[in-house]
Amino acid sequence: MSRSERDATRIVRLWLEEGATALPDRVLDAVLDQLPATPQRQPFRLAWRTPIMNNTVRLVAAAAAVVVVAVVGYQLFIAPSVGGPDASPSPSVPAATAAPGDTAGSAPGEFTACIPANSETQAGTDETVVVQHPEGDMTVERRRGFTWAGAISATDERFSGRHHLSWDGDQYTLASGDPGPTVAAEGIRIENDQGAWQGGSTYVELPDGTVAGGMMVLTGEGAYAGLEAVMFGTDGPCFLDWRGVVIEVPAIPVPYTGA
Amino acid sequence: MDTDLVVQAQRGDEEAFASLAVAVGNRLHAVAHRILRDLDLAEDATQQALLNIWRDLPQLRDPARFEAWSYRLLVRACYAEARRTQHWTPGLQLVEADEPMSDASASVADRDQLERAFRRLSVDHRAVVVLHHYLDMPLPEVAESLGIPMGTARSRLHYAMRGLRAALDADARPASREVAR
Repeated sequence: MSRSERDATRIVRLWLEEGATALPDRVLDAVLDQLPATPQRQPFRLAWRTPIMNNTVRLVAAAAAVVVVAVVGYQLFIAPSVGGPDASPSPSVPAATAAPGDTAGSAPGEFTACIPANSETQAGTDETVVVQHPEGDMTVERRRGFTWAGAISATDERFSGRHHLSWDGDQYTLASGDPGPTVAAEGIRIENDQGAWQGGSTYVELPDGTVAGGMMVLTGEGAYAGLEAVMFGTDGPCFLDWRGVVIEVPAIPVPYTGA
Repeated sequence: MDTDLVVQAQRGDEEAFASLAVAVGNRLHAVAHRILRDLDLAEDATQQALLNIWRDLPQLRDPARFEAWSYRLLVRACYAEARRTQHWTPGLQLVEADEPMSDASASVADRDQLERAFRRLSVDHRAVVVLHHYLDMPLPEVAESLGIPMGTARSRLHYAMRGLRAALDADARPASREVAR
């Protein structure tokens, strides 16, 4: 005779009541003993603060600074004599003194931006999936659609206004239970009365805490059309701190293959 | 759960985490034991889960969700433990009870059949059964705890319970035939 579903459920529940209910002290002691040697993984957003400034990035930043100095110098000392006082203002590169409160000693075109502690406007989804791997299946915390919005202030007023930030990330855990890499992509839009900036970046965080990538490339709109900015996360007192430059970013060259 | 303790532990306070571990340790271990059906494996999984909880705690956005979130890491540790060892799937080893079963209707034969049927389930399926039927966790909460869609949780529970019920029915059938003779 077949048992009713309710009867079967009741038996399963009773059966599940059997078993250990107390964690032995030695297990708990072992856990607590290992805490000092087990570093905590910081929240994803901290990855924004510590991108690697590898040699390539340093080279790009240095080249950008040279370009900015050259163009600003041209505009200040050469262009007025060429174009005369009626020359229309070019949006291509900002003057170093564009922002009130600009940091003394900063490079021309450089700015810092701060997003203060703000509320998460959309929590997004959080799903655990298993990914097959030859060395053992990995589990992935797949987070999608996390967004923030609120005020942003910058030493360059063109980057002050309201921001919209979106973030997606995958955090891998190896079959052994050890942490794997985290890969993430983020997009940002900054809007104010004059125009807007939009861009994004990707980054990878390795299990040893090394973070690579995370450099935002922003394209200007409205009054900022024709401008581009590069910025990266840095340490600071805000929820998110950025440092960047407004530059003309060269197009990515076609790789030379010898042809 | 004291969310202040969770916040302190998120900031690296080991004493606060010790209090949390004491508060949730028994429950995590009980769940691990019911999923893995092996005391040693359950202890290893619980130990690893607690360490993973400590490691990932700063990433928990809502401290109020600590306990539900901790089950996700526990199930992941159970999964890893099950994969790491070879002897947990085959064979039959009845779980030692801390207390005798209170209802005589769950006979030894039922328990034997359930044990066999349960061991045929994947860790993912076992986890849903244990969280729902042992912890009395509503299915939406099970889905949230495990980080799976609600439909997946429902499907896993349905599949698992169908298997367990079939096992109980298989146990009941010979007895019926004997009566018929």
